[in-house]
Amino acid sequence: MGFAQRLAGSIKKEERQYTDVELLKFFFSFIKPHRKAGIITIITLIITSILAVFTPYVLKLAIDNYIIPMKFSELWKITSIYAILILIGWIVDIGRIYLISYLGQVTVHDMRNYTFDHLTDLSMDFFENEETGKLVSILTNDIDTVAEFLRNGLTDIVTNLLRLIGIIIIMFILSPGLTLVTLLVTPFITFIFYIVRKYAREAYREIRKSVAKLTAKIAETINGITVIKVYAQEERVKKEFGEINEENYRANIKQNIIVNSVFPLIRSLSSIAILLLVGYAVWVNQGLKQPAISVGTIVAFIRYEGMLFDPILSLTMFYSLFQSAMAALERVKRITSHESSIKEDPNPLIPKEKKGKLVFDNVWFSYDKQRFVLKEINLQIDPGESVALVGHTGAGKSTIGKLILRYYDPDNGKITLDDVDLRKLPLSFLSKKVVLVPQEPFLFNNTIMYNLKYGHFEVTDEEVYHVSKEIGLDRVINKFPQKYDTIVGPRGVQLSQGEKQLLSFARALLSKPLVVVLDEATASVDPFTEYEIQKATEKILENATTIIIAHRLSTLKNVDRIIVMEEGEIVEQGKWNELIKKQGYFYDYYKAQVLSEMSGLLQLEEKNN
Amino acid sequence: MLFSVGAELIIPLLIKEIIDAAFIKQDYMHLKLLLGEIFVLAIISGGMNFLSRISSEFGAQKTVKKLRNDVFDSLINKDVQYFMTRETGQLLTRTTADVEAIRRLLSVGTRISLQGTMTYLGIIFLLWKIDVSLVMIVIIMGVPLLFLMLIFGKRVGPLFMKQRIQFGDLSNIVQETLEGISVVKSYRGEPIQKSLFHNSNRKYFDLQMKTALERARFLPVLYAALGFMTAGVIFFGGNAVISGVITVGSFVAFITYLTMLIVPTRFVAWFLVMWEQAKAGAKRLHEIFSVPEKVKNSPNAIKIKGRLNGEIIFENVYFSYDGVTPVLNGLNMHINPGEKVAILGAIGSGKTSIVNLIPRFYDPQKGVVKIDGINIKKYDLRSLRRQISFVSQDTFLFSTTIKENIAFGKPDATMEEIIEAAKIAQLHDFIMKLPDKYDTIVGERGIKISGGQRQRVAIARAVLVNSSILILDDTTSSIDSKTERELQKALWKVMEGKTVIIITQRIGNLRFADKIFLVDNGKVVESGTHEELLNKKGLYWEIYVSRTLDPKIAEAIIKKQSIGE
Repeated sequence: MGFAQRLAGSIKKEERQYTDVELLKFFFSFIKPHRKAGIITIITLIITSILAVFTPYVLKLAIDNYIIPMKFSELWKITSIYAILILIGWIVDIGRIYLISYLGQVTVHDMRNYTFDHLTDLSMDFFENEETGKLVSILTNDIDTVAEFLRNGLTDIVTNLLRLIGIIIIMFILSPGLTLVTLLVTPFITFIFYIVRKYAREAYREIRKSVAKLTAKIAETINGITVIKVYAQEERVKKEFGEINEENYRANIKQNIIVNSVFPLIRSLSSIAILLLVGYAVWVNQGLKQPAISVGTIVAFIRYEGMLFDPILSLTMFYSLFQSAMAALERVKRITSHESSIKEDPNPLIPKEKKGKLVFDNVWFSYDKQRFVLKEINLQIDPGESVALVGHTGAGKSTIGKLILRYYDPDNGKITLDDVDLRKLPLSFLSKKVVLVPQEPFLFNNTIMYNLKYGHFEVTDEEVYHVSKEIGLDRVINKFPQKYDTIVGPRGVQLSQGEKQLLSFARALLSKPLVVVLDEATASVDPFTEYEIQKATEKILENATTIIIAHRLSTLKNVDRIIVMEEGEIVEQGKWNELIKKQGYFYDYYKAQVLSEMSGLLQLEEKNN
Repeated sequence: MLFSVGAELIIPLLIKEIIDAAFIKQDYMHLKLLLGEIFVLAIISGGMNFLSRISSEFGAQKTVKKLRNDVFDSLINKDVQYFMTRETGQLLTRTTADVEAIRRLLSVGTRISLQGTMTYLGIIFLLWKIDVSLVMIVIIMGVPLLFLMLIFGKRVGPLFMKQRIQFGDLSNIVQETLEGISVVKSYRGEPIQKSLFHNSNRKYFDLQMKTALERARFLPVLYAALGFMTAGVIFFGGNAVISGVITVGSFVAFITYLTMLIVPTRFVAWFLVMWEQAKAGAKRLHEIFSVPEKVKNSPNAIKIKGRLNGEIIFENVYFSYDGVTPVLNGLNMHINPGEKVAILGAIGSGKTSIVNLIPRFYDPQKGVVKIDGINIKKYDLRSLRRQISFVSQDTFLFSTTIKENIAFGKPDATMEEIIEAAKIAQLHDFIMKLPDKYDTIVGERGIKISGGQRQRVAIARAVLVNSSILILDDTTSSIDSKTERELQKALWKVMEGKTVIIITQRIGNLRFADKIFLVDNGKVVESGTHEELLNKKGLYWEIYVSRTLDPKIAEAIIKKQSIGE
């Protein structure tokens, strides 16, 4: 009990959201469905422990009752008993090893699926604030740590506790005096473990830290390889890596010196324990005709003594496994208990008419609940209308897009799609009908066809060819020998930014949305192709409501309405010509942009004069 | 190690002596001596064990350190192409997990295998001396066991390899789902990603269970075999004691030796697992070392000292990334020293590929690229790249301070220089608003900054390096026009005396250029100044008109401006 308390007590409470009990409950909730396997595993553990404790005893019986009294004729009996015990042990062991693996793997398998599913279902705001690398590591490394804990930590501790108790009991029955002598060294061993544990843990933490640093450095080098190469900084990066590697080396050496000084010490103590028990036996038997401690007992004790250190060792090792498993579980639990801030209404409504009318009714929004990014937005966008949002960085254009997609909900006011509050719509309906084309296009490492059809695999190949042709994507695709079956590589590295944007655009067109948000969707596309896209979009998205966020104002000549935003407010709206005529905000922007585009020329003139 | 194993093995012999002395001869004087000997041996064995562990550990750790440095060096020298065709995750596991597998084999594996073998041989030798017939029991059981274990290794090895690959696949799915989460979300891809993950997870589980099955089949055999050996010793050894061939002490020593075999036997299986894992790791590491670099220094490479003039010539250049899909088809281009040129072209016309050839990220299959009249393949690679500032489409930030990010190409830059560069890139005001100013951490583990700001950090980085050639590959696509205008003004000063190549989609930006190259299908189709090209009424003119920048309004604004506002 003292041990358990120490365990619980010494784990740092700070930075901890959950108690160990909560985490263990969480952990056991994954084992629960495999209760049967768990119970059978425990039975096999008990059997193997009993067998392990009994076989040396049978050995003692053989020596004392048969060999020393010279009962040769009956020696085969005890030998057979011994052999049968071994045979049973063999069979049970097969089950034990398999079941322990099964239990560990199946639990982890379930936990992985559960965590992944939960993660993918979380709303977008979560991902905007989380690091990808960290989440990947939780799903892979952390969950593996939990598996390791189950496989080695938990089963070992059960087996070893059973064994330890069994051994001590049987030793006492055989000879209390000898037991005490044998156990004489155990306080020393426990003490050594206790002292070393602290340092070992520290050293281990250092190793973990340096490994994390190494990994981060390598990942960064791979991702930033072109920057490193073009600035010819290879030698410096190598040197930096070498330093971290050296750090890792030192930490490893430190840990190894600690760990490696323990085991030999224990081996020595173990030998001394044998010495003590043999010496004691001889001393007790001194002068006695009939020895009080038999040869068989001594042999059995030598065996038990050897079996004693394993449990003590694993009890102390258990602590670090337990601790890292708790830390890992903590991270897993933190993700899985994170609730989407965007929730589906229990009684969702589907609009009667699906036309694509969007209304912002007195919408206020802030990311941090302090500074409002959108203030009193009132806006109606009619079905099939194309609307452009214009304004400086930070004016709130992208935020409007995010609210339409329900990445966030407004703090105040409401947004309706076809007269139904977005919060009332089923999430699947919303994401089916409202599509975002982002500036940073993302492609899966799969074929071009897969990427185009992603999310709407019911689309026919003909439709894909048609749309690609309309927007000029087929030219790009036909360059590749495998055409639509070309694998785009991780994150689409085989394609240029403009090509990726074009593909991402085509994907949106193919999903036949009701509302499309184009957030700088074609910033890296050349003017010629952009012109094609515009024409094609008008045709394909004829009935869709389109919201365009663009820096290049000249691309907005044909939109139905331009909305100018400044500091989270709508300051002006109207058609291109009206706004130019009005000579207000938009006119100023446009003038600035034209001048900017002309500035090269003006400067050239200055230079020439 | 020899000493530590030896010392340990003598102890049971002494126990034999003790038992025979105490129980049979009752010679107590001799006894005390023996007990003393055990004590000394225990200490020696422990001490030697410590020394052998530490020395093998040092050797292993040193080797691994060197291996890891070598892998990293080899990796960083690989062609850009190498990184384009491989998943980051896969490369990562090689440099971490695979090296780790080798480390385990070297540090733990060597020690336990040596120690195990020595213990085994020592015990067989000593048993031989006690009683030959009993040794036969050990050998008869041991030899088949050894074969069994080798079979186990052969079966488990490939499974480990598969497990690794499957695990890599699993993490890739997570990685891809998270990186593309906005696509997953907006196209309701959750069920697709989930089923991908579940499948992969299931496969991983199945592989694990296959391994578990092998382990369950083979490992218990080891322990059982030891048990049967003991049973054999009980019977035959007991028989020998009864018939007086050996003493009770010898019998006990025998049993004790068998007890001592438990640990090295456990090592065998352990070692085989380590061996197979390290083998799989080594195979994958070998791939890194064996892929040759295509872009490398030629013998007698010219080290560039001072500055280049910056004359760039492309002569009939043919290039393809994969050797199949042509990207550049006989491209010719002449850029004079100090010229500011722009490259314009449709998607997929090969613009980025052209500039990728200048710092030799790739080499052309045919034709030559010359700088200052010399084929760039003849220059020392790094000295060539030091002459070039390159801002690419994908702006990359390192997880460090904004200051160090700007100074990446010039680590010894003064704070004044860094601030100056940030000012040119229109970044200074933004940085001063950050919590830690220039010491704010950015990148993957730092604060998130917008695409436009990232592009400006990359520009500041390029500006700080006093290079003779500046390449800007569509670097202002995410910057709003007001900022861009300021940026251009500031950049103009920096461009003085440099050869500048700009790829841009904003056609208005092209007017300043000394020369515009219109690229189509990997060839230059038109070139000249803005006016020349407009007058030509060719493709450039067509694009310019199709671009909806209304010339009438533009003219009006300029007129108004010149009248004086």
